[in-house]
Formats: sequence, structure tokens, C-alpha cells
Amino acid sequence: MTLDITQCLLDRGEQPRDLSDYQSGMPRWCDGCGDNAILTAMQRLCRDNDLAPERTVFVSGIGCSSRLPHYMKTYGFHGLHGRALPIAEGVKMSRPDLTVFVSTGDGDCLSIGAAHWIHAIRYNMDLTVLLHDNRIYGLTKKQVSPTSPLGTKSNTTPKGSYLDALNPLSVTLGVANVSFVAQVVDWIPEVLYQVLSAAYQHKGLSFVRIIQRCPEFMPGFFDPYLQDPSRTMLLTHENGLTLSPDIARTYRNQRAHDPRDLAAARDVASLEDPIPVGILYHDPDAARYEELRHAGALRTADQVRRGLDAELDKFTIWPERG
Amino acid sequence: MDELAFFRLTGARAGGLGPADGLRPALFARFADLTALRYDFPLVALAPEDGSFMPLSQIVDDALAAAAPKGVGGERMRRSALRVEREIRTMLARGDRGDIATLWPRAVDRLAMRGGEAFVLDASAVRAAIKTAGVLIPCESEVGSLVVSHIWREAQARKATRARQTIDALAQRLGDLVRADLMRSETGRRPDALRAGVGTRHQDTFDFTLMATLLSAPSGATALTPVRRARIERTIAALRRQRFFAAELPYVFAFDRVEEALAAYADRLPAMAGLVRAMSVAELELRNAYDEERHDEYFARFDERSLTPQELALFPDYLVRLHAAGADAAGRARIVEGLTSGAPLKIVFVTDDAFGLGAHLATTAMGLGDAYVVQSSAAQLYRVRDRIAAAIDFAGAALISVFAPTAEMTALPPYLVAGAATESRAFPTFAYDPAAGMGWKERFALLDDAAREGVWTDHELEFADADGRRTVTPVSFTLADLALADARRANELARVPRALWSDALVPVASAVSVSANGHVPFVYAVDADAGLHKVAIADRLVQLTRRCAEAWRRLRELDDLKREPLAAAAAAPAPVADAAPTVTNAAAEAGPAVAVAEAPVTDEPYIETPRCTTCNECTNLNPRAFAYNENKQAFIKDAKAASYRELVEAAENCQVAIIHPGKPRDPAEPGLDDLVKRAESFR
Repeated sequence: MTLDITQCLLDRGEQPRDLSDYQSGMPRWCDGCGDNAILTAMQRLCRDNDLAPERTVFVSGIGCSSRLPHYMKTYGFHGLHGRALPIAEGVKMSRPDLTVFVSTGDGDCLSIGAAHWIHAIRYNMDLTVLLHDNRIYGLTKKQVSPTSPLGTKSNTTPKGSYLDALNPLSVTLGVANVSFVAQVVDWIPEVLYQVLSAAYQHKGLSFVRIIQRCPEFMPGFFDPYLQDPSRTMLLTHENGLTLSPDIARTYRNQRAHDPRDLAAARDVASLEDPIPVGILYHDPDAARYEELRHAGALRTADQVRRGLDAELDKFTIWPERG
Repeated sequence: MDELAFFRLTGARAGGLGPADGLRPALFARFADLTALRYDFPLVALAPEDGSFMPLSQIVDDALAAAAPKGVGGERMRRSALRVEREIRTMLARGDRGDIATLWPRAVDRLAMRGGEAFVLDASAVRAAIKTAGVLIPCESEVGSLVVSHIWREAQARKATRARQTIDALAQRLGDLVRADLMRSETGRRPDALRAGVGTRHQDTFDFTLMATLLSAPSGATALTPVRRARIERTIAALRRQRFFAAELPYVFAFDRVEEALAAYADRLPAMAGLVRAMSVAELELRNAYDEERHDEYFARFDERSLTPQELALFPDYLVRLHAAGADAAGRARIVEGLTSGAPLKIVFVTDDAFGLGAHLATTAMGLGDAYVVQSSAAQLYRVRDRIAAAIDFAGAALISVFAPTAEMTALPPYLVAGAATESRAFPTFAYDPAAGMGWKERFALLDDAAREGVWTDHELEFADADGRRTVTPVSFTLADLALADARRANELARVPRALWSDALVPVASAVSVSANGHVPFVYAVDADAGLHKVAIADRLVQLTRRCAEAWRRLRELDDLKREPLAAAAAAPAPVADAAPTVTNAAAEAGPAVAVAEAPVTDEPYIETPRCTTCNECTNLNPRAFAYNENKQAFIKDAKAASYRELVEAAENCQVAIIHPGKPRDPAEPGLDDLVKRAESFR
């Protein structure tokens, strides 16, 4: 809770922030990498919502995507492979007052971190999760990921991959207590920003799959989609995405889709070509784990000490008690 | 002048007219002993999560549903439990008080002699299935005050818990700041402080003197300044000192006089301002946002006038329990003053006089506009418990006006008389919620819905006539009937001997609506032996009855506002049909329901900036010509800074093909023909 008068004093005291207040270092991603677009959209989102850098956390796992926290001038946690979500849940559990974003990739989230992914969806804690899906392991120089299309030739599959790609949207929409699922492409920045804003506004876990180009290891893979706007299908609805005139001119392939309709969302999720872009599903009323478990309860120094003692005692050997 | 007309005009009984002592309203004939009946009362006061109140009969039913086996044994258990329940009612009517845990075993003891062993076993089985504990509240003169106090207490406890959590968290986190600072300070790095930091088990393991020399001063100038530390410590002390919420030395918030509550509120305003100031300073400190230059002076001038409604609503409400007996004209004026003072007084006003001015207090208070008002007789309290809770939660003053009979008024069962006060329109049930909307329509709700059409409620009176034949006659239950249940109205009633029964005696309901000379209004009454009587009514009471009918009609008019919009909508003319539709149709035919922009036609180079994906290709190629805007999306900053070749190459390199090179600026640029050809696809 913040008192009215405090809010009033804070509002008067602070200078409006600009993009540079959220920028840190020069991104080491390749030129033309979709991660650049995602980073810019996130920095814009932070600026436009006036997020205090010291009250904002970016958590990531391992991969190209997971370098994102390095380039945000906020708190960040570059975690273990596949473990971005449990770390983010821990942060949210002990500090529910912080805004927490998660950057994870198709390998990090859908392969080694798949168990955490499913349960994070079910826990529905208030996190904004960005799935940077370039459909390949790029940081380790090209191995297949769960979303690589059938036949992808890589260092681990020189004769081409053997299995159909996993569809992260369909899986997510099948998990109980799912509350927000969207899909965007990195090459329509305006829509990317719009969807990320909606995801941030949603209270609960918002899962945004961002289809992104990897010019180095999947060169030209998305060119047909970039060159032919009709192969992108924008989902529009008064409860979802409304398009600007510029976007509406370029992308004329549109479908009205109500994000409250789970069955229709599952239909849309299974489409591959054209790529559906927009908010597939939104349920603002799904239960949130941190609220059910009263996260952020006050702990005195004494309680913390007793808790630590109890934990450490589990590993203590007491020779005198023989 | 005959004796009836004389009585009607003067209230003096002459000739054969007798006093109405010992008579009850005829419709009460069937209800002699309420302890044998199951109804709302006694109520059991519960914790808020269990719903605040529950009738004892409901609790017994729930326990039976859980404990009673199917078949004969279950039926026997049910009878046993109902006997205990009835005994508890009898004990309460006799004046015993307590909770289920004390009264249940006592009732069982009293019945055990006759009931035998099986009864005792049954009763204890049902007792074991009762999971709720709470004080039993019978329907008696104190019931209004008890019910409202219970709801108020629970609401304040909720408020206090919330506020204490906030205040404790602020104090603790401020304490963490000071502690962290101490650990970094020179004092914190002294050997004794370091020794204290590792706990007793390892105090001999380390050389703390050496450790103290090894630990260097922390870098940076982030330590608390003495001024800031003093401010934080002052703030922690102010937060710990508060007396409003579950404090060690708490203020009292329940009063029996309006003026005492108002004085207490006024006295504490500076303390309220002090606490809010401390909370706000704490919030700023914790965000590292306290700016001495700007905030010192503001907080120095901060006082009770600076408090906003949001902050005032954090603080406890003041309960004032009043009885009509102590409220003369000056007392009623003080109530109005209390309700308009701006202080969050929750006044529960209990009256046993349905005929006096106290009975109109709630209607008066509604006129004040900004106080929450609930009116209910004791018999309706359980039904309006949610409204009472809303009145307590309302951010502002509230009046809860309750009619509850006292022993001074009547020897009849209080629940019956309270119900009669509602039924007779003397004390209608209604609520007025200023926060519900801008008009009466949203704010006012009449909660008595019986017989909305007429003024009075209609009943049938069944009796045996002089020849022993069953006779049924329609009667209305009016304020004059209620007078039979109020000893203080005895002078306005006269028992009419059968010899004087004639057409001149007319039912009071028709006498109120049609006034005719020569008629004397009457009501039916019964005596202790169920003998039927007619009781004549003096004019003074007829006038009160007429006023009561008027008051009821006014309330119903207010309530009818809710229903008017439907009628108004039906009567309103249909919307004009010729202007709007054409526009709608045109839009519908245009395809997607969004506006579509057209591409610009120009020879100048340009970038579709909103589509830029920030890939750095063009800005790396020529940072003077290509730049990022405030959203980090590329635009052409200076077209003259780029050759046509660079523009075309940038267009070719752009992954999303949003760079348009336009026409060449310098006709002398080498290789122009080839470049123009390559630029064709980026027109």
C-alpha cells in the first residue's frame, strides 16, 4: 500500500525517464537478431509505464535470449539453464511488490526447463514471460531445439531433424489455470510492443511466444513471411488487439478472435501458416499462487535467524548427542 | 353526546367503557408462548468468516444433519435436540445469559430427570457436532446494541489487523536500514560487534581483533547521514507509539454519548496526522526518495487538515450506543450534529417507542444526505445484517435505528411486538446508502415487501360468534393495533361492552382513510382467555395512525423511483431513425473495422519507422544519415549525409525492407543507372 500523500510527493519528485535510463551496455547479439527488437520493446515498455529500475527485475536462464537482463539497467538474474521460471517465482514470492519479467528461449524453456514451464503456467504468478523462439540453439552454434521444424540440419542432426516441432502455444493452452497466452513476431515492432504491454498489464502469468529471426543459424527462414504480409494473420478484438491504420494497411489478413474463448484459442494456436499474431487467450480471474500463499509476509530478523538455524540444523552433526 | 363519541374526542372513558388492560391485538391470539416456536432468535454471535450471526435453530439443524443417524434413532435424536433448544429459549426468556458451551449442558441437566439416559446421550452427541461457539443473543431490549456492537467489533478488528501489518512492515524495514548501516559503520566493524555476529558456538574459533583490522571501510558514500538516521529513528518511534490499531495502550472507540465520541475524535486528530506523517516519511525513506530540501518543510507543516479521505478511512470508527429514553430534543440534535460532523461515528439508536419522535430519527437522518442509515425492528435484525455491516464499513457516519420493546412497554414477547412494529408500518425496514449512487433511486431501499399495494397489511381474523359459528372477517394491522401492545398508550384505548357494538364502530383502517362524523374507530383485541373484544380508539391515536400511513406512503414513493425508468423508457419516443444508420452501413461494407492508411507518394528517401526492428544494419552503415528515434527505431536523420549508393545498400540490407531510397539527389553520382534499377523494388 502507498498512501495518497506519498504518491503525490513521489509523482512531483521524479523526472520522467527516457530509454537511456533502462539501457545498459552494447548488446552482443548479431546484427539483424530479433533479440534487439525484443530488447527495444521492453525498454519502451519500462519507460512508458514509468517502472522504477530498482523495483524491476529481469530473470533469465541460459541462451542468446537470456543475455537480455545484462542490457537492462534494472535488477537482473542470469540464472541456470532451464531455471529462469523457478528463480522468478522465488523473487515474486518473497518480493511481490517487484515487477518481474522472464526472458527464456525455446531451448531453455521448452526443453531442459519444460517441467518448470508447465507448473509456472499452472501457478499463474504475476510474471511476464517472454519466450524468445528462434527455433534453434544459437549460443552454442546451431543444434536443434524443440521448435526446430522437421528436417532442420544442424550439428546434432546432420541429416535433418526427425521429429515435428513442438507447439508451445498448444501445450500452454492445455495447462490448467492458464491465464494469458499471446504470440507475436519480432519484425512487427508496433504489435510486439502492444502485446507485451497487454501482457504486462495482465495480473497473473502472461506467456508471450515471440517468433524471432536468427540471421546466423536460420538465415532466411522467415523471409517468406517478411516479404508476404498475408502470411501473418493478425487477431483483432476489442478485448485483444486493435490495429493502427499503418499496420492495418500492411497486414490485411485479419481475424476477429475473442481472447475469452479458450476453445477458439486452441484452434488458432494450431495454425502454422499464416502465423497467427495477437492475444490468443486471456482470463483475468485465474487464481494466483502468490496470493493464495500470502506471499511477502513480514519476517522479523529473529524469524529469519530461526528459519536459517532450523535449515542448517538439518545438516549439523552433533557428536555430543551420540 | 354518547359515551363513544365523547371518548373519541376526549380520551375520557365514561359509562360502560372500560380500560383495555390485559388485552392484546386479536391477531396475537395464536402466539402465546414463543419459546415453543423456532424462529430467528436467539442469534449466536460468530466470527466474521462464519457469517457474523446464525440463528440457534440453524446451528442445531446443521448439527443434526451431521450427527443424526437415519431411521428411528435419528428421529429420537432430533426430538431430544429440539427439546434442548426449546429449554434454552425458556432459560433466555427467564433472563439467563451465556454461550452455547454453558447454556447447552445446563438445559440438558434441567431436562435429564424426565429424559433419561438416552436423552442425555443424544443431547451430548448433538452438542459434539456443534462446531461454532458464541454468545447467544435473545430478542430483547439490548439486542440492537449487541448485534451492531458485534458487527462493529469484527470490522474494527479486520481494519486493525490490516493497518498493523502495514505499520509493522514499515517500522521493520526502516529498522533493517538502520541495522544494515550499523554493520557497515566503524562501530559495526569493531571486534566485539563481529564476535556478537557469529553466534555463541564459534566465538572462540576466530580472532576477531585481527578480523576487525582486515575489514576495510566500505566503499562509496552511501552510509546514513546523522540527520537521516535521526529522522528514521524518530519515524520508527512514531510508528511504534501509535494507539489506534491493536496497540499496547489502545484508545477507546465505543461510547455512550455522541459528544464524548466527537471530543475523542477531535482530540486524536493530531495523533492521526502524526501517524500518517510517519507512514508517509517511512514510505519515502524506504524508496530512498526522501528529499530534505523539498520534504522537510512539507512535513513540518503537515497536520490534520492535510489528511485525505483515503488516509482517514484507515482509522477506526467510533461506536456510539444510545437509547431513546435518554434522547430528548437536545439529544436528538446532538445525534444530527454527530452525523454531520465528518467524524466516522456509527450511532446505534435503540427505541422502544414506535409512536414517539425517536421513531422518525432515521427518516430525518436520510435527509442529511451523507450518512448511511439503516432502520429495523429487533425482529428484522438478522435479515438486515448485511446492511448493518455495510453501514459500519461505510467511510463516514452511520445511523442504525432499532426498535426493541422493553419490559416497561409490554409484557408480551419482545420478538412478537418487534415484528408487529414492522407489520404495522410504525417502524418500516429500510436502508439509505449515500455511496450507492447519485440519487434516491440508487441510494434508498425499502426492505419490507409484504403487501406493497395497500398501506396496511391485510389478514383474516377467525373467531366463533355468539352462536358458536365460525366467522372470518378481514382485518388490517395498523399502528392502532400496535398501541394495544404498549402500556403507555392505554389512555387512548377503551374496551367497548357488547351492548354498545353497533354500525357506528368502524375499523380503524377505513376511519383513517375516510373520515366521517359519528363514526368511532375500533380495533379487535383478545383477552387472556381468548375472548374477543372491540377497542375504541381516541382521536389522538387516530391522528398518529394517519401520520404513520402518510410516512409509509412517502417511503414507498421513494422506493418506487427504482421502478420508474422502465415505465419512462416504454413511454419515451423511439429514437430518430433517419440520421445514423446510413453511416453504420457504409462502415460495415468497408471490410475490416479499422482505419487503413495509404502509402506516401514521394521522391524523397524515407523509412517506415514504426516497422523498424532495431537491427543496427543501417545505423552501422552510415550513422550520420540513419539514426534512432526516442523509441530506438530508425529514421533518416540527414538524407544529404548519404550517397544514393548507401541508401540503396541500406534498403537491400534492411531485413524488413522498410527503407525507401527515393530518387537520386545528385545526378552526377557514378553508377547511377544500376542503382536506380536496384532501387526499383523499394519504391
